[in-house]
Formats: sequence, C-alpha cells, structure tokens
Amino acid sequence: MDMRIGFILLVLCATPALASWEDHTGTTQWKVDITERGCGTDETESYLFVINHKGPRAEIADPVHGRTTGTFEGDILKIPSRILPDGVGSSRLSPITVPFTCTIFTTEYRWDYKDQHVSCSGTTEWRGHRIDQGGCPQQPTTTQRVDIKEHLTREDKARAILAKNPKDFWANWDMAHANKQRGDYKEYLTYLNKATSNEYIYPETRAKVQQEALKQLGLPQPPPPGTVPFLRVVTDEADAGGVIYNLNVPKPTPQHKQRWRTMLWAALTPKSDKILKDLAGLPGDEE
Amino acid sequence: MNKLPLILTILLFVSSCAQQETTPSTQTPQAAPPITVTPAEPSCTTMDCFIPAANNCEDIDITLTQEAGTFTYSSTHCMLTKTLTRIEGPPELKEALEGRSLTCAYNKGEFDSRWIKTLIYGLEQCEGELKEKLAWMLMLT
Repeated sequence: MDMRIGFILLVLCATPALASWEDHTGTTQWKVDITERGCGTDETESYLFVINHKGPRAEIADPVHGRTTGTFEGDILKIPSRILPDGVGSSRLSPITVPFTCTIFTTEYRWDYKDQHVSCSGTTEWRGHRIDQGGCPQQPTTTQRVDIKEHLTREDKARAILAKNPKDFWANWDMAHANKQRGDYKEYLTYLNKATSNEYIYPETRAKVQQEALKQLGLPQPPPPGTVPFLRVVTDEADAGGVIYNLNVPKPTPQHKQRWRTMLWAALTPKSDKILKDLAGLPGDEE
Repeated sequence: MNKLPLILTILLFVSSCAQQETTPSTQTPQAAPPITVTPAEPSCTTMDCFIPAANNCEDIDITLTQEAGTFTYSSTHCMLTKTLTRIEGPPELKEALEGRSLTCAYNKGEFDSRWIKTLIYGLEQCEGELKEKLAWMLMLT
C-alpha cells in the first residue's frame, strides 16, 4: 500500500503542471455573443473582447461596459461586482465568474438597473470564442523553466557584453526583444536603435533581411524607385517618422533612414527575432 | 307558321354571342399607380464619414482609392478589416499584395484614424498578411 501511494505521489510530482490562464502573458481576442434578458429586453449581439493577460491579472476591454480588471485563479476569471452608469440610471452587476478553456468561455451574471422612475433586474450571458491565432496558455514545464532560465541568462549575458561593448549588435538585439516581451516598448526601441548603430553586423544583417523581403514578396529585384505608388507611399511615410507604441519617433536624418526602416520592420513583423537569427544562422527565441 | 319568334330568338342568341366575343376576356388594365421614387440616403463614400462611424463601432463598409492603391475598409463590432484590392506595379507585387488584409480591434471611441490615413502607422496592435507584407516592403525602400 505504501509503495502504491509512493508511486502515485511520484507520478504526480513528475507530471508537468497543467496549462493555466493564470500564468499567461499577452493579449487575446474573443468574439463574444452577449444575450441580455430583463427590463423588457431579450436580445443577443456580438462584440469583440480584448483581454490583456498579465499573469493572474486580466484587463478586459469590454465594449459594452468599458474596461475592467479581473483575476484568474487557474482557468477561472473572477470579476468583482461593480456599479456602472447606464443611460439615465445605473446598473449593479453581480460578481462574475468565467470559466475558460483555450478557445471558449461562457458565463451568466445578474444585474439590477435603477433610475428615478424604474428599477428592474435581468441577466446577461456571455459566450466567447477565441479569434486570435495565439496558442493555449502555457505554464512553464520543468523543461521550459530551464529555457526561461537560459533566456534570463541570455539577457544577463547580453548585459555583460554591452557593459564592455555597448554597440554589440546581437546583445542589443537580445535586450530589445527581452523588453518587447515585457511590454517595455520604450526600451525595446532604444535597444533596437543601438543594435542598428553597429557598423559591422548591422549592414550585413540588413542585407540578408532585404533578400528575404524580396523572397517574401516574390520579387526578383526591388522595383526602381518611384515606379510603384504603393512603395512610394511606404517610403514617404517611413521618411517622415511617426508614432509607434505611443512613442514619437522624429523624422530620421538621411543617415538614419535605413535604421528606422529596420526598426519598423522588426516592430511590425511577428517573430522578427527568430527570423533575423535564422537568417544569421543563430539560435533564437520564439516570440 | 309564324317564324317571327324563331327569328327573334336566333337574333337574340347571335346578339348575345357577339357581345361575348366583343367583350374582352380580360379587363382593361388599370393604370399602374404612380411610382414614388424616394431619393436614397447618401451613402458614406469618404473617410470623413467612415472614421466617425467606425469610431462609434457602427457596421460600415467603404472602398477608397488612395495614393497607394484601392482599399476596402470594413468596420463591424469594433473591428476594422483593411483589404488592399488593387495596386499599380509589377505582376509579382500585385500577386503578393492584392487581396491581403489586416484586422485591428479597438474599443468604442478609440479608432485610430492612421489605419485609414497611412499605410505603416498604428499597426502595432493589428494583425494579418497585409501587415506582414507592409513590414517586408519597408526593407525594400
């Protein structure tokens, strides 16, 4: 009997922890069918919900009731009760408990509406379906914990390299993407700017990205300047500078135009970190 | 024998048949009621009306011919879909870009007009093939 209990405990300890939304970081998008019943209403409409996951904390952009925050406990989101302005009156929403799977959530909550003349109650049902292409939440397994430790070590290594050589391309590149993953876009752009100031690695790397761009667009060579209106607009907009991640990037000098384009490419391209490292033949992280 | 009743009967018979033949089998159509043409409400054809409507999360579609090319913009439930339908350029570039789309989700009152007015700005929170192709285009400029 003791052996069997010991075996079971061993299996439980060795089994990787199950994935949970409580550990997730990133943004998810959901098409939500909202059915509202009460106060003479019985209707269903579809809305887009955007959820910003920061571990257990979730910020929900609810287009009906506005932004709110909740807390994930495992895969169950809990949103506390709140009172919201509602037309000429106000509505008190009951606490909301929302069980999630990787791609679906459903819940129902009560609300009580009141204004000067009327008070009534009803229920609202949410049925959400995931519409972004992200995967299921992943709680680090033992193997992934090792990877994360390596990632942190890589960032530590990058810092150590930069302490001696502030212009090291790959160290700045690694720091840029570490900050991007943390959502620190100011530091992300700062490190990208430093990476592209490298006079040796950057030009070579940029040339490889340009070749890949031709391949991705199916072009044998770049179109002659000014011959394609679409390309001309892209050029003009890039040359004017602009706001990215809510940060104002001024009009680049002629010497910095190419660097700015590379920074924009990195910011707009999913998995740009991995792509660049693949092109350079280096190991990269999945974004 | 007095043939007058017979003749009268025949005449009456013929007369009634003639009336039936001359009476049209269908009634004269009445004049169609006058058709009242209600002028159609002016539809939205510019970004100046599209942007506020999209900002209000109204369902609205529009096609715009802009400097870079022709785009369709579709807003529904606070989600914008921007599709490049036509550009001028080499066939390979048309093949790579035409028909590609990107989508941008937003909250009511937070529509980013750069999605309509520019090609490359405001796309950080958008996704789709068109966004990725635009990023690659940057490296050719």
